[in-house]
Parts: sequence; C-alpha cells; structure tokens
Amino acid sequence: MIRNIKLYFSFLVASLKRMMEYRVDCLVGMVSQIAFQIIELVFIWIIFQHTDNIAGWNFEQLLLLYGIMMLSISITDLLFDSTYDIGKRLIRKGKFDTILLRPVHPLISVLGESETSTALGYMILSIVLIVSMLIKLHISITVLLIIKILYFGILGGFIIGGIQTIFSIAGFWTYKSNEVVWSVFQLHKLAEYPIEIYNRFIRILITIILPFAFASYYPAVDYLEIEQNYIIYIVPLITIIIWIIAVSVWNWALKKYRSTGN
Amino acid sequence: MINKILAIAKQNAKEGLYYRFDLLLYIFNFIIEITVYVFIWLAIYNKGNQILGMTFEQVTTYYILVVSLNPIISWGINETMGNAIREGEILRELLNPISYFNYYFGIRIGELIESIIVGIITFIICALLFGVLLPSSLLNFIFFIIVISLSVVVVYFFELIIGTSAFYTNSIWGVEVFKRAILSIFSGMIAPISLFPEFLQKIANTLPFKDCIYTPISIYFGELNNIEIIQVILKQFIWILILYIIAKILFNKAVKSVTVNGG
Amino acid sequence: MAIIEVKNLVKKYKISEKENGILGYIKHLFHPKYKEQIAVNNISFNIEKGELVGYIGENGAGKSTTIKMLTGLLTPTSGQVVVNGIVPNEKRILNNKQIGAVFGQKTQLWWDLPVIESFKLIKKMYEIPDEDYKNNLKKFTKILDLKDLLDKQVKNLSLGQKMRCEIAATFLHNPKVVYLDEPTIGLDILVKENIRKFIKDINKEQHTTVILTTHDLKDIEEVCDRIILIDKGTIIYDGEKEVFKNKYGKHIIAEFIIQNKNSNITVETIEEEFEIIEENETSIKIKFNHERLTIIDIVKSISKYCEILDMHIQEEGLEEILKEIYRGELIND
Repeated sequence: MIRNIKLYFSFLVASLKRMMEYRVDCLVGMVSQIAFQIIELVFIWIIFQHTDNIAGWNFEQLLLLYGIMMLSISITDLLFDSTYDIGKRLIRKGKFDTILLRPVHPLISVLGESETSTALGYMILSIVLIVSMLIKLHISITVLLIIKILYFGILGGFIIGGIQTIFSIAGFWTYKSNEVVWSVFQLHKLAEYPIEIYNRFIRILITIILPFAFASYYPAVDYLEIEQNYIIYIVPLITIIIWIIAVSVWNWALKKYRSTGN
Repeated sequence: MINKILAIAKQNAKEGLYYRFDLLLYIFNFIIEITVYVFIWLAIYNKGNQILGMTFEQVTTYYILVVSLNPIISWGINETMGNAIREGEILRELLNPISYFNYYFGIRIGELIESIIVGIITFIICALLFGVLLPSSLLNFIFFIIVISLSVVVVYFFELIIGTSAFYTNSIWGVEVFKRAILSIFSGMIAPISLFPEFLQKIANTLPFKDCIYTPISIYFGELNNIEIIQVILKQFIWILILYIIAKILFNKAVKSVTVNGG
Repeated sequence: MAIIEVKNLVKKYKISEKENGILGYIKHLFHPKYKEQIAVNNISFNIEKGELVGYIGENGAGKSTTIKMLTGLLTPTSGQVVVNGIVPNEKRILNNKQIGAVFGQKTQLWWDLPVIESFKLIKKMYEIPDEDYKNNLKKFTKILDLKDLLDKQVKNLSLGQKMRCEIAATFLHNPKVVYLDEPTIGLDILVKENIRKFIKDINKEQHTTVILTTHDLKDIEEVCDRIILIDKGTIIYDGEKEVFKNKYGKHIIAEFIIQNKNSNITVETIEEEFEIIEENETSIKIKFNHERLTIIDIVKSISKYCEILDMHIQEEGLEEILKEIYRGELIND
C-alpha cells in the first residue's frame, strides 16, 4: 500500500515534468480554464442582477459554494484526471499491456499519468473565491476553518475522483470512454448550486447515487453555519466507500479484460 | 466541387454516426446542462420575479434552443485538423485533389449532420421534459434556419483560424478551450445577451458570434422585424468575407513555414 | 526444473456476432450471439533456465496469444502456465517483477521524458538495488551505445534509438525471463545486430531466459538455440535451431527482369537446387539453394537464354518457409 502510494507520486511527478514540456499549452489551458469558470460566474452574476437570492442563498454565499466545488474539482483534476480517457489513450493503442506488465497495480499507473494544467486554474480561482467570499460574509478565517476547508476539499476531490474512476472502466469496452466519464463528471455541475433548488429526483441523484453534494454543498452549509449539520461527519466514510467500490470495480474489469484479451 | 464536398461530408457523417452511443451521451450531457439552468431560473421565478420582460417559458425555451444549437455551432473541425497537422497528415491533405478549405468544409458539413441530429433529439426530449414555446411564425422560423446556416460558415472560418495555430503549438487543446470560451459568452449561450451588463453587450455587438445563437433565437421569438433580419444576414456575409481572408492569409503563411522546414 | 512450464494450454475467444443497423445493435444488446474461436489449442512445452527460444508462426497462428498468457496479460481458458514457480495470471505483480517484455512498437518508456527519467522510474517500480542499477546502466550504455540518448526525450528518438533504450529498460531489473515480441521490426541492420548481440551477452552473463517472436529469421538464426513453431494454435515444430535452419532456411529468391527471351529456360542445365517459380516474357523468378549456388551461377546460366535488365534478390522469408511446411514439402520425422 505504502509502496503503491509512493509509486503513484513518482508517476505523478513524471507527469508534471512532462506537462512542463508543453509550457505554452499549459498556460493556455490554465488561463482558458479560468476563463471558462469566469463564464459561469458571469452567468451567476447576471442572474443576481435580477434577483437578490436563489433559494435563500445570496450572491456571496452562492459564490462560496461555487468556490468550494472548484477546490474539490481542482484536487480531482490534479490527482485523478487520467482515468477519464483510458479507452482512447491506453487500451486502443495497446499501451495498457505495458502498464499491466509493471509490478504495480494498474490503477496506480493509470492514476499516476494525470497531467492537467486545468487543475491549477481551478485552484487559483477557488482560493480567490473562497477567501474573498469568506471576508465579504464576515466569517472569521480561523486556522480551524482553513484546515476544515482543505480537509473537505481533498475529500471532495477524492469523492469526485472516485466516481470518475468507477465509470472509467467503460474504457475497457468502448474506446470512447472519455464521453461516458465526462458525462458523469458533468453531473458535478448540479452540485455547484444549493440542492434546495432541485426536485426530489435530482437531490437523491447528487446525494445518494452519485454523492457530488458532499464535495460542495454540505461543507458549504457547515462553513456558513446555516444550520447545525452532522452530515458532514460522514464525508470521510463516503469517500472510503466510493474508493472501495472503485477499486473493486477496477479489479473486476481487469479480470474481464484479461480473459477476453484485446 | 460541391459534389466533392458533399462526398467528404457523407463519409465523415457516416463515421460519426457509427458511434451512436456517443451521440446519446452528448444528448445526456446537454440535458444535464439544461436541467441546471432550468432549476436555477425556476428558483428565481418561483418568487414571482419577472426578468426583463421574459417569462419563465421564454427563458426555458431560450436555454433549450441554446443547448440544441450548441453542437451545431461549437463542434467543429479543430480536433481533426489539429491532430492532422500534428501527425504530419497535413502534407497528404495538401495533395488532395480538392482545396484544403473545401476539404475541411466537407468534414465540417459531415459533423453538422451529426450535430443536427443531436440538436433535434435534444430539443424534442427537452420539449417533452420542460415544455417549449413554438416559433412565432413560419417566416421567422425560416429566417432562423437561414441565419444559423450562415453562422456555421462564420464559425467554420473562425475554426480554420484557430486550427492554424496547431502549426505552432504541440497541442491544440488549449486554443480550442479558448475558442469555446469566447463562443459561449459572446454568442449568448450562457444567458440572453439582453440580460448582460452594458459593456459586455457592446463587446458582443462588435463580434460575429452573437448572430450564431442569440440573434437566431430572437428571430425565433419574433423580436426582430424583417428589415433587421436582412441587416443581420448582410452582416454575416461581410463577416464570412473578412474571416475567410484572415484564414487564407494565416493558413498560407503557416503552410509555407511547413513546406520550408519540411515539417 | 524448467523455468517455464506450459501444459495443455488452451485459449478460446468469444467473438460477438453483431448484425448491422441500429436494430441489430439493440438486438445484440439483449440477445448477444457469440462464436467460439480457438486461438491456442492444447500446447505444452518446457523451457529451461537460460534458454534462448524463438517462438514463431504466421500472423494469427496464436503466437501473441501464447505470449500474452505467458506474461499473465491473458487468462487461459484451460491448461497451466508456471513461470519460475509462479502462475502469472494469479500472482500478476509478483510475476511482473521477475519478467521483462518488449511488445513491438509499444513503448514502456515515458514518451515526453528524457530516457534517464524513465529508467529512474523503472528503478523505483522494480525496487532495483542501487548497485545493480548502476552496474546495469553502465554496462547497457556501453553495449547499446546509449550515452548520447539518455538525456533525450523519447519522442525525439529514431525508431532504432528508441528500441535500444526499450531493450535496456526491459533488462534493467535483471529479469529472469524476457519476452521479446518483434523487437527488431522496422530497424536497420546495424541496430538489429546491436540488439542481437546485447541479448546474447546478457544471456551468457545472467542466464536470462529469452522468448523471442519475430518475422526476421536472421534474429532467430543469430540469437536462438531452440525454435518452437506454432500453426493454427498447435505446435508443429519444437527443437534445435540448427536442425530447423538447415532444413528450412537455405533458399534465396531472385527475380530477374528480362527481354529478348530466345527459348524456355530449362532446369536441367544446372543442378537440381534450382527452381523456377514464375516465368514469362519479361520476368523470371527463381528459387535456389544458396549453399550450393551463387547468384553469379544463376546469372550466367540465365543469360544464355535472354538479356537481363535488372534483378532483385531476397532471402526466402519465414512466410515462404512456412508455406513450404504447410504444403507438406518439408515435414520430417
């Protein structure tokens, strides 16, 4: 386990080095990602030109929620981005066989290939958003709060990364798995807004079936002290469950893959 | 020439439609997108707000049209073109018995067929889920189609300009994202441009992208009179000419550098 | 004890039969129909430590399926594979530590990184002791002439340079067994020789067992002691290289472009080690035994009958030999 984690970070460092080879692309990617998010923020801002709250959340609160989701996404992007296109990138080209021949669990190798310039864009934006909104909302930024935000940001990143990893096994059957994973990933957008605005079906979808809301909404409710909520204590549990599922599903897919060949 | 373009388009569409599964996923993605918008606006309208004279039905219809038109406008040749340039396919493509611009226009039309199918299915599903307003008149609907068709040509030349950057960078992805960012704000994809603050409206008015999404939807709603519509169409022709010239100049320059350096 | 034991190994593939059209697609979703195909049909062999084995066969004969099962990439339908006491598809990670593999053009190196970075990662992955790593790196750099390549990015290397680095990466952790699948495909002759020499050297020093599949008979001739020939999923030859080489690989095919042919070229003018494969007014294709005849002999005898404009010589490829074997011409014992 420890060995795997160490190797994972070695791979990740290699990916980052590789990324540095394409500095221009990297910068463009980062700036574009910020631009993209700003588009969404522009959207929220335009809405608030015409209303003072959405489901009881004011502009600053909503942006805080948004920033928290961004923080989680940036962690996902940084650590688990590479699962999403294994079909196209690895399996179709037969490169997956060389990964299977390494003396490491293939999932570690695959995850270690994450290279994403967008993560940095998300991260910068999320920090700016969270800090400025906390100040605007007169919430005192204590050490405890910072630790909490980082802790839940990382867990949130692991939750979304885990969900992504579960669906990434589609890559073993379709070369276009990136579209499947992308579709699921896109559902995180639902959790960029307070779940009160949704009907029951969507609430169940983003809390129980694909628990994106634990990467944004529940931590935000806690920081804002909107209500006493204990749900936040189960976030680590949810993270662990998701990853147990993800690893099992991967092992199952690997077994299938090995019995049918390519 | 048109026959050649159509032959390429047909081939390309066939390949695309082979991945029907993908198309379903695209549609799924679009529905998620609409869902977010619809619920946010619903939360606002629930409080009895009336936003700049738009009813909730209009806003819903607006976003359903945006999402249905999105693939038609924002899918394009950039990925194909970028990969071809990076992997050296460009030299073979330059030897095609059809000009490069026409060749890729064929590919663009092929993708258009796919995106129209996705757009129509998305529209129908969303219409059933959320309800839509129908076009204000048949004439306006025809104008709506014409303006969108011209928009495809406008964005095609814009894509060529963006795609040319693949000659200079290793991965076109970054530039591609940049293109999409510009398109989605200034075409009115994120929100009706009439709801934008003044200065953003001004920028949107000077760029050609507003006429790709916002204007056709306004026509759909019957908010533009016939003279205004004709003006829009004329403006689009001028933009096509301008972008064509820029694309041609940049592309020729890039090709020269490739043929001089031997790729 | 043999380092690789293969016993009654079978691999069957299920091939889905899809009908055309969207209806067929939906039908397949609910009622999938499969056809069975036997890729490897009950093969058995043992390989001893330090053997250099050429595993050959036509495309689709079951070569890569076998290699994939030996490496643990593929689970056998039935039968048994044991590599150095480990069943590869059960104890995959453990098995991976003791083997190395090269699969044609698929690289195990990190594409955008300098070669040395990949080596360092491999060192970490396989937990290679510092001492071994240093020694191997030094040795491999010398034999494979990697000195100028180590700091270059893999993507900037030529095919031959890449393969040299690839081979070095494969042997870096002193694997007990190495599988080389088409390691010389597309390489020029000097690189090929370099790689062959390297394999032989390491084998001599470390007693590394090497399984080599290749289309280049020359690889087999120079590297292998033993040959296993597979056809349609079954082994049709398993024995010493010398026997194989002498029996099957001694012909050369020469094609002449000719004009002004005055009569049919007859065989009895020269020895029986000479066969006309194809003949018409403008060209003639001849197969001859290069141990008995030289190309000069052939040219001399043909020029009596016609004017030679051009010629093209090629060694009898594996495919030709295999064809002869399938035709039953060369089957012995």
